This record gives sequence, structure tokens and C-alpha cells, in this order.
Amino acid sequence: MDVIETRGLGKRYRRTWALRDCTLAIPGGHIVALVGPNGAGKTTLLTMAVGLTRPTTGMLTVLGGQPAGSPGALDHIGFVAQDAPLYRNLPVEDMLHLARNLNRRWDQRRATDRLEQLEIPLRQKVGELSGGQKAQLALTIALARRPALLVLDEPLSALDPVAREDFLASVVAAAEDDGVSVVLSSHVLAELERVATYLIVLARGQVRVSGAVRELLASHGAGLEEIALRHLRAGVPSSSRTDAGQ
Amino acid sequence: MTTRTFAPSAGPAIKRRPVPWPKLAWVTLRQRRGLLIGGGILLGLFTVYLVVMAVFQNNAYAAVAACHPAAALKCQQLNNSFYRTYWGGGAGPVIASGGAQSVSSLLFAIPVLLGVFAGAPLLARELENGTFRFAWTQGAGRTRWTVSTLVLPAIILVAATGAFTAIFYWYFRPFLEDQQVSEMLPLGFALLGVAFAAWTLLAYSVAAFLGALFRRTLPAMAVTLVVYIALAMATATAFRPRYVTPVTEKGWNNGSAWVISQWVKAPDGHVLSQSAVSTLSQQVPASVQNSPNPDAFTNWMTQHGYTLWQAVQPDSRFWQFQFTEGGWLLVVSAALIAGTVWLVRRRGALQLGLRGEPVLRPTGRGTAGLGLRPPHRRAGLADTPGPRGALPHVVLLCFGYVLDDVLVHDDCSYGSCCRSRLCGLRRRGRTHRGKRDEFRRPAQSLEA
Repeated sequence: MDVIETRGLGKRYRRTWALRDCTLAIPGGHIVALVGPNGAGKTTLLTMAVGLTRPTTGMLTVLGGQPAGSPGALDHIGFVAQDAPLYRNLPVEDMLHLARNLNRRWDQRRATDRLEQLEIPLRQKVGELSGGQKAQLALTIALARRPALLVLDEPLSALDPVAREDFLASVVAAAEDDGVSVVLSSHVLAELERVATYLIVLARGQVRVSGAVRELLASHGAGLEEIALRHLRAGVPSSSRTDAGQ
Repeated sequence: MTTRTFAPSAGPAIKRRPVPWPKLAWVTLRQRRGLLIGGGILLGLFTVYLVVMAVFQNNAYAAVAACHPAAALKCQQLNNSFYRTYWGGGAGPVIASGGAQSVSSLLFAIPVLLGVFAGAPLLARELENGTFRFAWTQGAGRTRWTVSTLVLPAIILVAATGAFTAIFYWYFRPFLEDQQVSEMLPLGFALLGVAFAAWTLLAYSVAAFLGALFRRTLPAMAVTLVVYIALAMATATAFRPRYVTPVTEKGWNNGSAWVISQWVKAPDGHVLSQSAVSTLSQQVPASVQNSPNPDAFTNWMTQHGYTLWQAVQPDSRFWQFQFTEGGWLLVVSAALIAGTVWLVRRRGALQLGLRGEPVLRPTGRGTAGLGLRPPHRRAGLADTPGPRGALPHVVLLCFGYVLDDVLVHDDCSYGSCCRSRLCGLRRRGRTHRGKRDEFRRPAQSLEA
């Protein structure tokens, strides 16, 4: 089953296309790294997959053909948006209770166990947590919903190196223990390289590379960064190469 | 790492039962706890005051009502002193220094205050803080969440203001029974019957709708205030007198009613102009003008061949008018709440509200709601609002003046107060994505 499938998907904001003619099939059972430079359309793709944004053109289905954003699909997708938005004025336990009441499926035990393990106090206000704790809380809530697909938009961008390590370890553990398919986006491939089993490179709203990491490594005979770079450079006119870094 | 196998449990064919309403109600109540407490305190304080005053007032009025015969000088004096103390306020022995007249005018502000503070943040705050990305991606779905978020506080507001009206009626009753104040007059009408709750609901719905449209709490509050005041004034002066054709009657002093207009007919049947009437009234002898008999003026005019006419809305139409007004306010409010739900549902499809960004927005023709533009476009804030942004800007300034003047009483100059208020707004006006940019310097990109 494909967790995300798109055909000719496009999204335009006024005059700019954030994503254009994107055709993808992300198979289940992977940790998918969605990488690309800033403004490549990563967030657009992910917000469309969870129904926060609707496509301008093309089609997008999730979890084996369900329309993105439909209640049936949302039931099985755990989404953590960029900066892990949560209600800052609520204590952690109320935040959990709130998420529990917003979902049909909820594993309270799993949530409290995880928070205990992470030593996040239940009575602390969400706004008083550190960046790493907040990201972990958002992940905990997403996992307590027992999702089939976990979508994480730039989960590491606000975290320090130690928190990044911990967070990725949690994600890998969840994927391995529960068989959750994971899609993570980042503009830094290096931080996802070690955990990703599937790679998608986006640039300027278009897919440059898409494939299982093992097959990519076998067919290209180079490191992941090298592969990504090569494809980015190939598709981008030399004048705008600065967009992707030095 | 090996490729994991994935056993899907999600089948599109499975009929799903939605998240039940009581659970959503818990979410709404938890999220609005502060509002419930704040609104409760505001109404509670006024309620305590009204109850205490009502006890004094009803006691004092019982003495007035028991005085017999009513035309006796002693009774007239008692009545006058009752009105001086409790209606006009001033040198009363009790905490009556306010007086029902000024207390009632103060209560006028409650519907709009409650409605604005309850309604404006509902969606605007979610959109400002970016938490809509959490709320709308949960299993309940965004429509159910929105309906619960909008409808439950509305019901609570209507119930609370409805109960408050009952207390107010008890407090206000002596003046109505005395027939000296008509319940049809704008002062009483808006605070009695169903009007008080209906106007609260209207302010709430307008604020919620504008909050979803502007995606900013403060501009939504300010514009709601202006819309509400304009609509309330238009209703009292233009709409309400026309709900039913006024009754035209002879004479100017026919008991308690809401007088819409009065005119004088000359002996030859012509209607006198305004200036002719004032010239005429100067000819009325002082003995008539100062007569304790309320009919003295009419009698004098009739003796000289003039006829007095007036168009009134009699007190008997009170409930008819209340239900007319409550009805159309309810319809408008329901339409606005439905419109808010529609805005939320539609948001995914069209980036509504982006074009007419009301106040100080990021310069990059902001798609800040979902933050889908490269961050550098979002970095700066516009120095001057665009033509569309100007109105809420001005409204906000005026709102600031009013706040400084009425509530704060500090003696800072208007300019500096408003500047600091606007600066405060600028800080708040930042989108929820502002912070991330600090972590994302260009050097940190893919190849770094």
C-alpha cells in the first residue's frame, strides 16, 4: 500500500507554483526522508497530504487511496507540523486529555509511559517546556493516536544536536516497534541520512529523486548526499544554484 | 536497516463513527476556560450589584406605591425623591450614587464586550499561533472541531446573558411599573426581554467571523466594535421604529410609550413647522408651563384651537418587538457562524483572507497562514498598511484612545500611548513561523 500517492500534483500561491507536476508513490513501511532546499515545496506537499492545503491541480491520496484530509484518513495519520504547534497555556496532562478527546483512537498508557520515560512533568505548562521536550510531546501525542502514517514536517529544525538525536531515536523506535510508516522533511539531508530508508529530493516544486535508499546506493554507487546534490544540480539552471547552498 | 513490513489497518470501506460531541465539548470548554472565568466574573459582579440595588429599590418603591392618594403632595414628593435617588443617581444614602439611568447605560456595553472577547480569539488565535495545524489534523476533523468551538460558547453566552436579563428586569421593574419609563425606549429595550442575549450573540458571531477572516484577534475586535456600534445605533434609530407602523394618536401625554414623532396642527389644519412650534410655546403663559398638572399644556393648546399629534410605539408591542429583533439578530448570527465554518472549511482550498490582510503584515504578500513561502520573504513587516489595511488601523487607533480615556485614566499623551499600542500589535502581528527562521540560516541548507 502506498502511504502517499500523487499524480500531476500542483499547488499555486497567486503567481508562484510551490509544487508543480509532482508524481510520487511513497510505499508503506519506510522512513521516508523528504529533502530539498528552502522553498522546494516540502511543507506544501506534507500539508496537502494531511488536508490542511488543497491542491490546485492533480490528485493526492493517502493510505491506499483515501482522499487526503478526509476524516477516515486523518484518523490514521499522526501529523506534527513545523515548530510542533501545541497549546502553550495548557499543562501537559490537559494537552494530552485534549488530544484524547479529539481522536477516536487514543492510547493514554502509551502517552504517559513515554512522557515518564522522557521525564516530562505532566503538570508543567506546554509553554514552559524546552524545544526538545515540546517536540517530544508533539511526537508522543501523534504516536498515542496509533497512526499508520506519521508525518513530521521539519521536526528537527528547532532542536539542538542532543535533542535531535533523541528525537530521531524515538521516531526509529516507533517505526520499528509498531510498523508505523514515517515521512520526515528536512532541508538538511545529513541529519536524516542515518535513519532514512527511502529518499525523495524536491527542488523548485518538482521531484528530482525518489527511491529506496538501498536501491539508490546500489545504482549510483555514491553517498546519499552526493546523489541528492547531483540531481539538484542537474535540474537547476546554474545561475540559481545558490538557492541550494554553496 | 531492513525494510519494515507494514500491516495497514486503515481501510477506506470501514464505516467510521465520528468523535462524539461531548468529547469535543470538553475540548472547547478547556480551551475557553479563561474566557468563561472572565465573563463569569464580569457578569457576576454586575449581578451582585443589581441584586443589592434591587432590594433597596424595591423596598423604596413599595413605599411610593403604597402612598395614597397618589396625587397628594406628600406622595408626589416621595415619588420625586425616589426618582432622584434611584433613577438619576447623585446624593442617595445607598450605594445608589450611580442611579438606574447611568447603570443601564453602562450595561449597554456588556453585550459587545462579552461578544468581542469571546468571539474574536476563537479562530484568530489558532491562526495566529499556528495551532490550527494541530487542531485541524486530529481524528475529529476540522468541521466538527469548528462547530463545537463556535456553537458551545454561543449557547453559554446566550444562557448567561438571558439569566442576567432576568436579574436586570427585577432591578428595573419599579420604573416600568411606575409608567414613567417605557420599556420600549432604547435604554430599556436593549436590556430587557431577549434583546440583551441576542445582541451579545450578534457581537460574538461578528467577532468570530472577522477573526476567521482577518486571522488576527485585535483587528477583528476593533472592527467588530465599530460594526456593532453602527448596527446598534441604526437599529435603535432607523429599524426598530419601523418594525410595525407607529400608532398615530391625538395628544402628547397619553401614558407610557415610545414616542417616535410629535407635531402640532394649526386651527386651519396645517402642520406647524418646528420654528412655529417653538414660537408658539414661548407664548404659553408661565402659569401653564409650571403647572403640576401634566395635561395643562395640552389643555391650553386645545383651547386655542391647536391639536397635538404624536406617532408612538405603545408598550403593548414590547414582546412583538422583542421577538422581531431577537429573530433577525438570531438569523444574522446563525448566518455568520455558518459563514465562519465555511471559511474554515474553505481555507484549504483558497487562501482566503490573504488578499485583504488587515493590519501590519509581513511584506512578502504573505502566505503566512500556512507559511508556504521561503522565509526571507516573510522577514520584514510592512511599515505602512496598504489602502485596505488602513481602516482597521484607524479603528484600532480610536479604540486605543477610548481605552486610554475611559479605562486607564493615565495622563500619557495620546500619541505615545497609541504608538506603544501599535508597537505591541506589531510584535503580536508576527506569524507563528517567525521563530523558525532563526534556526534556518542560508548556510544551513542542503549542501552545508
